[in-house]
Order: sequence, then structure tokens, then C-alpha cells
Amino acid sequence: MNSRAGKFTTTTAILLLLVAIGSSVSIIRAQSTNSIESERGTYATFQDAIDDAQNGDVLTITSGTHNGNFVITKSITVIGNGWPVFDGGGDGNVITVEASDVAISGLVIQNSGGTLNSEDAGIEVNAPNVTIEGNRIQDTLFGVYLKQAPFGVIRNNVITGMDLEVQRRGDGIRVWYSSDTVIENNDVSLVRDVVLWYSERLTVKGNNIYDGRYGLHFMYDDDALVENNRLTGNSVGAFLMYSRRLRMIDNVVGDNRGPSGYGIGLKDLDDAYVKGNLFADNRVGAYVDNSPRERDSTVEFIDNVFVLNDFGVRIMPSVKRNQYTGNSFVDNQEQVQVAGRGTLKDNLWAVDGVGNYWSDYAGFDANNDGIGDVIYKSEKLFENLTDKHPKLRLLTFSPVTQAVDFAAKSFPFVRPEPKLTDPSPLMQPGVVPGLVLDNKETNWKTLIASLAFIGLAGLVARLGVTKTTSDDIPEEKSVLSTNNESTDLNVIEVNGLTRSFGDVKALQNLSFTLAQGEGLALWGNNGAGKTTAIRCILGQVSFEGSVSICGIDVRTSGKQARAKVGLVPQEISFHDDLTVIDTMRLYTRLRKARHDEGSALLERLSLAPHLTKQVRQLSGGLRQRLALAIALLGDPPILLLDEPTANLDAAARQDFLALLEELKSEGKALVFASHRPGEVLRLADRVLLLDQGKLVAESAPEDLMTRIGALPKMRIEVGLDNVDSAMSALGELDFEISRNRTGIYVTVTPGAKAKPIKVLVDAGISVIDFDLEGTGKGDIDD
Amino acid sequence: MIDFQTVATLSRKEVRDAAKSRWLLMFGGGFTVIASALSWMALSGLGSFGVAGFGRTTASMVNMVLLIVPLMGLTLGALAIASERERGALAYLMSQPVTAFEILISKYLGIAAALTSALLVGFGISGLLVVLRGGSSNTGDFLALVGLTILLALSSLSIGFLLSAGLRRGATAIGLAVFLWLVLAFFSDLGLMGTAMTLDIGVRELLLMALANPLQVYKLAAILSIKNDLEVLGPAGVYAMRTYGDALLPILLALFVAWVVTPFAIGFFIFKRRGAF
Repeated sequence: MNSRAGKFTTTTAILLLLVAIGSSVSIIRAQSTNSIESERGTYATFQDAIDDAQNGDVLTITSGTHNGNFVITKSITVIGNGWPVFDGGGDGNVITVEASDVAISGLVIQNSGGTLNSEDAGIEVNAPNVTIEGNRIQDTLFGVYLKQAPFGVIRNNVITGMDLEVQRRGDGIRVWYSSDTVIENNDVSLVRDVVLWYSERLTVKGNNIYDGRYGLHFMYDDDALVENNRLTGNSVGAFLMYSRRLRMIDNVVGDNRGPSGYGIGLKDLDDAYVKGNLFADNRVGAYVDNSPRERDSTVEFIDNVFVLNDFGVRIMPSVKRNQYTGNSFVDNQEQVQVAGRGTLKDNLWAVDGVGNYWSDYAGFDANNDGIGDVIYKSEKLFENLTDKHPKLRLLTFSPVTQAVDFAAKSFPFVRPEPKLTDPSPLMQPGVVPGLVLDNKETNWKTLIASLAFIGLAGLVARLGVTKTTSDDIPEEKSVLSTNNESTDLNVIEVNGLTRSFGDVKALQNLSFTLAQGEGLALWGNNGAGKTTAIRCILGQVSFEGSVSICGIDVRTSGKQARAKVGLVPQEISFHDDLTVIDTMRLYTRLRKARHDEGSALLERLSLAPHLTKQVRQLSGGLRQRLALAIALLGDPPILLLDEPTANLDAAARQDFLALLEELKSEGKALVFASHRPGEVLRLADRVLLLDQGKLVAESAPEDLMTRIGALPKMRIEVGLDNVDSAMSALGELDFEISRNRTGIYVTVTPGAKAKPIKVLVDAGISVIDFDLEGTGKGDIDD
Repeated sequence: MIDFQTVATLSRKEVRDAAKSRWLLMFGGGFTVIASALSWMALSGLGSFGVAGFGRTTASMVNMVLLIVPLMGLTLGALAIASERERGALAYLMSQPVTAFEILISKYLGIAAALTSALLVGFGISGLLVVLRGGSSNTGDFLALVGLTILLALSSLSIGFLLSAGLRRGATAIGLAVFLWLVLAFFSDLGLMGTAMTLDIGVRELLLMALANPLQVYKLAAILSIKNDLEVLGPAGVYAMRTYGDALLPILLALFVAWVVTPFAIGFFIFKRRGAF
């Protein structure tokens, strides 16, 4: 804008000088919209002033609004001062020039008619040698329309069309049978096209044409020069047709993405010379169709940059004698496209040993001459396929495209014929100084966004390592946790519990109840259904029948029911990399327990010295203690234990059982599965004997042990003479006895193993020796 | 009724676990390195032109995202349930006063947060490189790409959860996840190519078939967000633009949301039915 303003100032100064030395000067002052004065008199309208003027007059108009449709029939100069407005009132041309050698500058010309059929324009020129310079032409259907008006100059104007759908707009500039016209430094937008037809030796320089349909549309315009223009945001930058010796130099052609979306389109051009242009971010940088059309002519593309277009160049397969040298093809989705089947072998991709830069070139330059030592071949299979089947372009950017190209490289039999070969590819791209498109955003926003992303990720990572503090734990116990249940209530009621796996029934019609403080053992072989029963009680698997815990239906309110149960599984799977204290904190929150409760449990279960150890570092016994501590969080009335000591050594087992006895004595109800008679005898008040999912018997632990022969036997050696009396003494006290030559076998119960010895001693029978034997159905370890 | 405190507690645990996951570290690190390298290299050839557009950085980012992000989501999702079920940790967790939905949504949110963080680090560092290298960048495009990539990650994660919901072995889940990734990233597109060429199906049918793949939904949405049209995708892209117009992006986003919600919902029902074992 600054350079345009400068030129405008210069032009104005020259015109004012002309005013000073002119032989005849008329000054028209607009007092109002309908009152005009001049040295020749006062005029009602601008048209009256024109009619009264003589050829060569200079009319200077200072401000004001002039309504109407004006026709200039004299060779005069009209100069606007203070931007006088000429308003066509929405009808016809605003100004029509019928005389040659007219100059119009400094006017605001607006509000022409809007009829495409009558081609209403801001300024319509029907005579040669007319200069339209430094005007603002706005809200007109056509901007400047030269009809058979050669040697015209359209310079430094700002032309803005009507805000209509593009096909209903007129042309910003239309040059029709008007050779030797100069169109220079205009700013043209919101129009349909700039149409230049049937006119030779046109000069189109330094214009900025944007947001239209065809930035430039040439037809039958030989020897035109298109230089230093900026054609952006149009449907097509420039469509150049049926012309010879057209030179297109140093233009910026970008962001033209209409339905065809060509930066430039060349159709039936001969000897076109396209040099030093920047084609950026168009759908197609350059489209070439039947150019050249004549046998002895060529089309030259030299030192252009094609960057970030969908297609750098799209060429019809019939095109021949194009020459490409010194161009840079940078990061176009497809550098060169053949618009149909065929190759481009009849075109030159290097001239005098100078090829083009290809950003996808993977060669090398051993001798540092700037030319790659390996020929560039465009032979991508996916491109080949999409050239033949355009709808496959839907898969562009998909990983499969690389897979297809990789396959083609690896297996030559599927490799396509190269569509072009550049024997002398350049190693560095060309530079087009000063020819840049604006960045759409300032980078600091991206910088902030990037930093914000990293910061956000850091926050999330920190969230993962943030430890629970005492503040996170509710001070009061949640409604989920309770130990205030009535002692009269059955804490567990199971009715008709059945669990099937297909045709196999893991549990069949199991029913039982459990009172608070009671111990219930589930006894049976592997596959008897013990673990399944525990899972059903927890509501972890589906089942038939009903299970309620403290009156809560497990099936419908599993979460609330589980809050009243603490589980100690056989093999506990913790989060091994958590420390003991962090594990406890996690489950303290899950079970809605108080923070101090967790600490107390760790203390009670002798885990306090191990708080900072990772769980994986704990021994089996300590892990089981930790499981028990977690199970006790929230003070649930029931503990479920699935073979809790199966993986413990003898000492750890004793410690653990002692803990459970203590808890039972405090009122916890225990349900546990076990293979160990010792556990059953120490912890259980009742035993459910399960076999293949069925409840076989329910009895006191000792009865069951006896029934299954699980109690240990003591062999007492009393000598042959004393066997009968010994059997008699023991038989009187209901000991289960049997004779064995000089000794007796007596079934004993845990906790009273010495009783038979005492009975015999009291009866005066000498005990020579004794031995305790297991039964093979379970070790008695206590 | 969802207990949000429970969800927050478990999600936090999942974030912690995911942060230590070698899968996430491997993929996240790889994503960051590749994204940064792409940004760095792509700018080498463009600095002198000062142009912005759907260029190599964006295209290669889209391409890399299509390769890596679904693999990340699928594998992390596939491991989320099956491996814990295999170790027995899930059974223990489900013995606590939590519901199946709370467990599943917590796992999803936690892993999603970790996955998103890994992607944000990758995009953040590559974005910094673009800025520091003086490359031109449109912040809106950058944010759109990040947002859509996160959606792709979430949909992949949902599909991974769906795989994992019914499986007991982590190795099986991983194997299935990798196979599904191959299907989504390669085989389905190869099938589309073959179908389009041999049966000569129309662009409408081609487009609809493509949209059955969340990766294609991502690609279309990313290109549409950045370029405001799909012409670069040829006749099918033009058809999509002309048929759906301004509704196209909302449609694609709705499809994406469906790809997030539907697999998760189906996965939940399978998980609830299968339970911890």
C-alpha cells in the first residue's frame, strides 16, 4: 500500500502541474449533490459541466456526491480532489467514456447497475488511449471495461466488486479487443474475473488480484507480459489460452483452490515463457493442456518454485516439447501428475545439463557440482494408480500408500514405468527473493500452545505420582463401612446357590447361613466348589439362587455388599511396584476407611517396619498380612479367606492363624476355604463338606475330621501284657481305639493330644513309647 | 451411581501404572522423536519460501499419527484388562467395594490421560521445534491436528478395551491388537483399493466404506480442518464436500465420538458379563 500511495502522490503532483500550465482550466465545486460551479459557470449536474467543456480541459472536482450516469464525450482530464463520489444509483454504467485521450483519476465510483446482460460497469471505455488511474471503484458489477479501446492504461485503482455469489459478479477488469493496454498496480478483489480477450501486447504488472474466480483470464492475447503480479485466493490464479509468446515472470500465485484450482492453466499456448514464479499452496501449481499446440513452438518453465501444492504440475499426456529447467518442486503432494494414462517422455526435464530440484530426490552429489549423480525418476506406484483411477486419491496420506510404493520398489515386476526422468536433478532448491505468501498466524501462539501441551502432560504425570495425604481420607467412616450390625443378624445368608459353566455345575443348590463371630470352613477336594462359592458371595460371578450379606443382596447391590467383606485370597496379586504404605493408601480410599485406621492396622499386623518397601520385596507371610490389613480396612464384619495359608511356611502359618483367631474372638465372621485340618479345627465352628459342587455334609469340625479320617492317630506302646487293660481304660472314655500287637492306636484331637497318655498313667498303665501319625488326608500342624 | 472419588482414585493409579508401562514409554518416546524429526527435516526445505500450507510437516504428521497412534491405543487398551485378569489383580480389585463400570471407566480415563500426555509431549516438542526453526505454522491447524489425534487415540483405546474385555491372556490381547492395527492401517485400505479398481465402485460407496475405518475418519477430519476442503482426496473428497458441505466436519466428529463410545460400551457389557476371571 505504501508504494501505491507513493505512486499516487507522484501522479497527483504531475497532474496538478498540468493544471497550473493548462491553457484552459475549469473548476467545478460541488456545493451539494446537485450543484456544481466552474469558471465557465454553475452547473446543475456533472454531465452539464462535461458537455460545456472543451477538448483538453482539466476538470478538478473537490469532494461531494454526484449521482447519475455520466458520459464523457470530450477528450478531457477529470481529477478528483478529496475523493468525490460518483454514484450510479444502481442503474447502468456510472461513467461511460466515448472520447479518446481521456484521463480519470481520484474519483470514488460506485453503485453501478447489477445486470450481467447489460454488463453495467463503474467505467466503460469505448475509445482508445484512455487512462483510468488512482480511482476507487466499488460496489459495481464490472469495474473497468475497455471495449475496443486500445492503448488504455488502468493503473493504481482499487476495484472492489459486489458482494454476490461469484458467478453473479461481473469482471473487475475486462479488456475486449483492446491491444496495447497496460494494467498496472491495481488492487482487485471480490469480482468474478479479470478478463483479457482478443488483445495483443498487453502488459499486466504489479497487480494484486484476489478472492475472485479467475484472477486473470487470457484468450487470444499474443505477446503479453504478466509480471510481478500477486494472484491469490482465487478459484484459478490465471488461465491463459490460445495465445503466443506470453511471458509470465516473477509472479506470486498462491492459495488458488477452486473446483479446478489451478495456479495457472495453460491451454493452447505457443512459445509461452514462464520464469521465476512462485506457485504455492494451490490445488494445481500449473496445468498444461495442449501447449504448445504448434509443431515448432515450445513452452518453457524456468526457475519457478512449486511448493506445497496438491499437484506441482498437472500435464495432459499428449503434451510435448515442454522444457523444465531450474525449477524447484518442493513438498507438493504429487510433484508432477499425468492427467490420464501415459508418460511425459516427450518433454525435457533438463536443459543444457540443468534439471530441476525435487524435494523427494534421494540421490547424492559426489563431485559437488550441484547436480545429483543419480537420475531422478518419478515412478511411484500409488501415484501411477491414482493417475489412472483418480478416486483412489481418497487413500492419499494413508500408510497404505507407502506400503504400495515400498512394494513397487522391492518387487520390480510391479514397478510402473517412470512418468518423467530428470537426468540432472539439482541438489538445492531455487530461491525466489521477496516472493512469499503471508504466514497465517504468528508463531508465538504455537509456541504458547506447545509449552502448554508439555506443561499439561507434566501435570498429568504428576497426578500419577501424587501421594494421598491424610486430608484425602474422609474423617468419618462412609456408610459403606460398618461394624455395628446386630449380633443376632446372620451376616451371610445363602439360598439355593447354583453356578454353572455350560453343562457343568460348579455349585448346586448350596444353602447356609453365618452368624456374626462364627467361623465357617468350606472343605473339599480341588474342584469341589469352594473358591466358586467365595466368588459368588462376593458377587464376582453370576449365579442362581440368592446371596445376601448383612441383609444386602449381592446380585443387585454388589458394591455395598462387598464393603462388608474383606477378602484374603490364596495368591494375592498386588501392584508390586507400590510401597506398602502407598498400597494401603490406595485401598484406604477405595474402602472409604479412615487414614488412621490404615496406620493402626499396619501397626497391629507388624507391617510398620516395612512401610517403604515395595510389595514385591515382601515375604509371603508379610504379603498375606498386608492382604489381611487391607481386608480389615473399614472394619468389615466378615472375612472371606481362600486357602489363606497355602503358600506360607510353618512359622508364618502359625502367626497368621493366631491373628485370625484373635479377629474371630473380636467378633469377625470367617468364611474360609481350606485343605488343612489344623486350620479348620482352630478357626471353624462349622464345616461345609463340598464334593463336586454339592453340599455333602455340614457338621462340627471334629465330627467332620473324624468322618473323613482326617484326625491324627497316636500309637501308644504299652507292652503286650497291658494292651487289653489300656484298651479298656481308653474305651471307657469313648476314645476311638484299635489294637496293634503290643500297642494301641488312639485318634486324638488337636489341643488334647496328651489326654490318652494321662488316662493310661492315671490307670496305672506304663507307657513305654508313643508316636503321632498323620492320616494322609491333611497334615495336622498344630 | 458412579462414585467419582473411587473413579479418581483408580484413574490416578492407572496413570501411575501407565507412566511406568514400557509400551507407553516406547511408543510415546518414538512418537516424540519421529514427530520432532519430521518437523525439523520438513522445515529444512521450506524456510526460504516462507509459505504455509498442507505441506510435508502436516502430511507426514498425519501419516505418522495414522501409523503410531492407533498402535499405541490398541495395545494399551488390549493390555488394560487382559493382563490384570491374567495376573489375578483384577479379581482382587473386583472384590473391593467398586462396580465393574467404575473399574472400567477408571482404567479408561487413566490410560487415556497417560496416552494423551504422551501425545502432547510429542506435539509440544515438535511444535517448539517448528517455532524455533522459524517455520510458518497456523496455530489453529496445529490445535486441530492435536485434538483430532487425541480423538483417534481415544477411539483406538476404546477398540483395545473391547478386545481386552473378553480375553484372559495379555499375550493374546496384544496379538489381536497388532493384527487389528494391521487391518485398520493397511489391509482395509488395500481391500478398498482392490475393490475400487476391480469392481469400479462409485465414489459414494468408496467414501462410505472408507468411513467405516476410524483411521480414515481421522484423516478426512484432519485434512478438512486444516485445508477446509477435501479436494486433495480426489473425486471422493469433492463428493463428500458437495454432498455434506458444512455438515461434513460435524459428521466426521460425530463418527469419531461414536468410535470412542461404541467400542467402550460393548466392551463394558462383555467385561461385566465376563467379570474378573
